[in-house]
Amino acid sequence: MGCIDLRRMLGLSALLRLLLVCYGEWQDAHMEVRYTDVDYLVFSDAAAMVAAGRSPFERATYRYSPLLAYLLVPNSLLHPSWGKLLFSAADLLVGLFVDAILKLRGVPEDLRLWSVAAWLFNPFTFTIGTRGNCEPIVCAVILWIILCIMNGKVFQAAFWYGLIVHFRIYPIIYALPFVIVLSKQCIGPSRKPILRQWNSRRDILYDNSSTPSAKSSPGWQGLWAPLGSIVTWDTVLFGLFSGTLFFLLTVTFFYIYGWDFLNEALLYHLTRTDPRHNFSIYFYHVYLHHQQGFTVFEKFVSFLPQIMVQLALIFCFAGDLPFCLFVQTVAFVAFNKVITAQYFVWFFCLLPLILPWSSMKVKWKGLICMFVWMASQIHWLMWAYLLEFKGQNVLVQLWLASILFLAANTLVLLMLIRYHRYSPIFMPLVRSGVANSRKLE
Amino acid sequence: MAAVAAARNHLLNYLRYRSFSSASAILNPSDPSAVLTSKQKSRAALALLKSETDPSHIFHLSAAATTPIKMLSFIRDMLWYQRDQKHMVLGLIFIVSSLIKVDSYNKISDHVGKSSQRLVGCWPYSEAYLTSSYFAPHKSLFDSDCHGYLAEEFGSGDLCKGMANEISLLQLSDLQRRLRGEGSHRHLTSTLRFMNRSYNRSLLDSQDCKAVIIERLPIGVFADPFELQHLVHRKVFLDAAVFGDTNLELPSALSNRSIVEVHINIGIENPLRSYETVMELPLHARYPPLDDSGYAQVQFGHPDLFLHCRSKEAHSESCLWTLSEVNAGPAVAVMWRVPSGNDAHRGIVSSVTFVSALVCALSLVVSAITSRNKDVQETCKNDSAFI
Repeated sequence: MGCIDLRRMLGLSALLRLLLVCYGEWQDAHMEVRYTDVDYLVFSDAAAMVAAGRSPFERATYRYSPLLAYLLVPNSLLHPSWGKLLFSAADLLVGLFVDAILKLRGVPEDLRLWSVAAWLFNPFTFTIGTRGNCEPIVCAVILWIILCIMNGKVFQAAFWYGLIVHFRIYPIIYALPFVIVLSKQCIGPSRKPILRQWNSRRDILYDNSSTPSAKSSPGWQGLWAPLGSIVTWDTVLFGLFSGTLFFLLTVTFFYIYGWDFLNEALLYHLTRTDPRHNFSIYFYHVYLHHQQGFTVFEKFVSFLPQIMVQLALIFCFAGDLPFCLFVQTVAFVAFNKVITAQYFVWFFCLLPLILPWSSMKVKWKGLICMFVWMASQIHWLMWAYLLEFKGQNVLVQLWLASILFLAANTLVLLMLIRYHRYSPIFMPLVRSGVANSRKLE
Repeated sequence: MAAVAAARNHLLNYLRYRSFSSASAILNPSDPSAVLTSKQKSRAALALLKSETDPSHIFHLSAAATTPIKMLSFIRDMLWYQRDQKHMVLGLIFIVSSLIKVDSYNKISDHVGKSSQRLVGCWPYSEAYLTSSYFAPHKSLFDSDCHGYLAEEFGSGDLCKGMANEISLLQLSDLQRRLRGEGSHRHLTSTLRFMNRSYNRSLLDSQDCKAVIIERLPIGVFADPFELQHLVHRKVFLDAAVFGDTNLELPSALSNRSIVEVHINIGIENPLRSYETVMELPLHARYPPLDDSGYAQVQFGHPDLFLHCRSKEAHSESCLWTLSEVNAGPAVAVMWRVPSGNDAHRGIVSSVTFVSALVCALSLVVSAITSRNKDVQETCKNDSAFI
């Protein structure tokens, strides 16, 4: 990559984000259409209420943890753009963490820089942070949890995990992979787990990520045996500590803010069915049924694909933690009842972590994947524009476009799974004589 | 007897707006919250009247009722309870002045253009929004006589220190309504044109005139209160508020109606264009109930319009409102066509949705399992090769 190194890249992206925040302020003041996201104004108002000593839930449509309002209190004390700067800083932190994780696994520098660039210069990511969405903070915390797990700091990982599940519900889907991965780690002489290193050779010596006792019986048994070995000190500690922290936070805020907190911040997300159009295939189904409600059978059938896919992905790929989290997140977003564009950031932050292990070349397979995904989105957006801004009844076409988007997501996932070189992050307990490579420092 | 009760109501309003907390405070200052009989109330009113030295106040009080019948029964009521000579004289003054007043009022109403304008009265700025003062005692916003209520409630006469010919400086001569834009986000444009009815042109220039437009929105549309606040901040409107259901997300079937109240300045600066004032209200459509035709029609009624002029120099709290009844007339009703879902699609949409979700899910599951199996088989092959 020539003279670009990580420091320069971070500096450049910081400058870019600063410019965008300033431009956003200008556009808000001078043009009819605002640059800032509506959600940011909701956070700011709620933070102003907290600064005045009131409940943030008095602000209509504030559906987040009170912690976010606390974080944004300087919006009313210092400057209204404090929140945007905070989120952009979280953006840069994500880039830093991506580099740290890849370095720990021995990825060479140029590949690392490309991966970091895939996050820092992704148009989705820098607009999301500068428009005032809080997703970069969530991404930074998830990556920090991965780092903690890779460094063997179970307590820290559990603390941040409990916190982030309270902040945003969706990371609960990562619970099982974290627990499975923690049960596989073996602590080396330096009191840190031994990590499997990146290797450029295609036909590397794979290790079955299942436990030693099952290594002689590949196939189905190899997938189910880990269940029994999940219960170790580390995993129990992780589960108990993060669960307790989540429970404590919920109870504390319930005590302070009452049912408002529970309904808006938790229950709303679990029972949300929005009949307004969005990328999800279920929106038209929900709209057609909104006047008579849903039967239990219908609810079950809409959850079934989601559960099936999540469980299959977890049990197949849990050892390779970043890849497992990535495919889980893509599938979770694709099969969810409501999909908005900001959810895409959830898996974009994990994408750089899997790129060094993908044998898919950018030309042409990579470009085709990107093109298919973007094209189906643009196709959907075109119909949505006709519906919302031209008032034409194109609901059926829009619904078919959302099914096409699901198909595109599935196709991209299939390609990524096919071309991924499965490599679990932890070295297994046995075969230490064969593959005992230490971390490169 | 209803007329008598109405007259008593007007008196109560008069007492209230003369900044007495209640009629009982006049008679019995030590116990302001005591409930008075009607006899006591009228005694209180007369006591006030006796203390009134300003003849214009007596004159204005004579306009307490909105119809001559109410006026006379009001006077009869008071006289009946007092039977006092002195008060008879005052009562006669009432009758005479009320007759004069009624006559001049009729003259005003004869000059009706496309809309009729009715003198309502005035009240102090205790409530920032007219709708909230209606909303508080009545839980529903959508009685058909909300309009009449406002006229009744506040029709207690002209309590201002101003002169009679300030009553109607401006009269609405034309109101045009249009729905501008396409799609789910449009602007309801109301163009108001006024006539200067004062004889003195410069009198109007010394006034600050504003209009309050109260839109009762049908159930299929809503106004975003935050957007309205943004417009107030940018000084497009003087003030704006939304009452009722302000939920921005639910479809029509699960929502209620709402009222929008907007305060704007009347364009005094452009007399040559009939003081034309344009109000653009941004509205958004909700997801309508299902319809076979694929579209739902949302119809807008006429707004309630209040006009208010205040002298620029005067900083008194009093104000004078006139209520413009906007006649339905031959105007074309404003209609909004919103796309809606079709009931007939229900079965096929649900089945295709679930089937496609299952197909995609299964393909991912199969691919994940085969990919892992392939890895495992390669490992065994490599193991055996290694050994």
